[in-house]
Amino acid sequence: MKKEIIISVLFAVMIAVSFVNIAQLSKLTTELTRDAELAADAAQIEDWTAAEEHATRAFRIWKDHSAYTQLVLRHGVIEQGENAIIGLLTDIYSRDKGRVLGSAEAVRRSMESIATVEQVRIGSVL
Amino acid sequence: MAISIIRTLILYGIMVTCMRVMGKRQLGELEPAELVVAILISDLAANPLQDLGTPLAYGIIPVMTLLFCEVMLSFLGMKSRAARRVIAGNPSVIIENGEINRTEMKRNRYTLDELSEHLRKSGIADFSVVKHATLETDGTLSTILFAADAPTTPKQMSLTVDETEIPYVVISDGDVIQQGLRKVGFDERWLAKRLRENGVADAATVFLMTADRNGKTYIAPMPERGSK
Repeated sequence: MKKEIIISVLFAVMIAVSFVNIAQLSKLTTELTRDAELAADAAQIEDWTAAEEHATRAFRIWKDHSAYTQLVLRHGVIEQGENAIIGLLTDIYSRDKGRVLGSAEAVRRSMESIATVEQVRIGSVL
Repeated sequence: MAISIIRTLILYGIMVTCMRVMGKRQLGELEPAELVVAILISDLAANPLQDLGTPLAYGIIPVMTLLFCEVMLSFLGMKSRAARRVIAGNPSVIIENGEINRTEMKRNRYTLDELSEHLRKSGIADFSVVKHATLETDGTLSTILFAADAPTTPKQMSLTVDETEIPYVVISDGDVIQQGLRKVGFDERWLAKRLRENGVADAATVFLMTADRNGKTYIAPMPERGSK
């Protein structure tokens, strides 16, 4: 009986951690998407300083969470997200308004994919 | 490479712990649910080992989930007969009172060749000596022979025989095993006396010595160097 109780507690903890993980990933990706959108908006009005600030902030947040993302995401997915943010930064540095819109969309898509892959939905499960 | 080694060590530790928690049954003949776990568990553990880009958690979490399912199903099976029937199925009587039950054989898709094979493995060559044969839930066949064909027991012959005691290892590879000595209820003085009686001067020259509570011993001397 002791063994069953320990395993049940462990399983309950695992479920709780998985829900915390969903919330944490959702928070991280929402924040990064918002920064990418703000950077794109600033780029459209040619406020390159603000655009740089938002994109750099997004990159810093992503880097600060690298230990966590490496624990819960496949390395391919991490690389994809990082490349999208670096792409956005590169386009802002090259002052190309059109490309910034595209790279901000790439960041949004990448973050959406990270957030949804862990969410409990029929599509994700199947 | 270091990462591979560390990940392998972590997963190895977890897998060994899981198999220990699942219990000895998992290591022998497998019931359907246990077989599923055994097949899945090795594959799940291998994935993060082969692909360093996959987080270790992707291997650990499914293994822990399977462990939970296995322990809970075993618990449920222990508590409820109905659950046990659903999880493990029912044993099927294949031979009843010497008659082969073809309906049960068909139901289990169990062929005559398989029946013969299982009987041969039990040391039975002749179908006519089998009174009952049951196909157990783990796929093994248990047999009961007709009384006339069953081995005679001392009780049937009204003989008195000594109860067999479990022999414990008291010397292994030249080392005296104190725990074994305690289990059989003797001490080192008794051991030294027994060795002398058998012409052995030193325990270090004994490869294996077993003893039981009745004082019955078996001594195998240390093999000479170079011999197999």
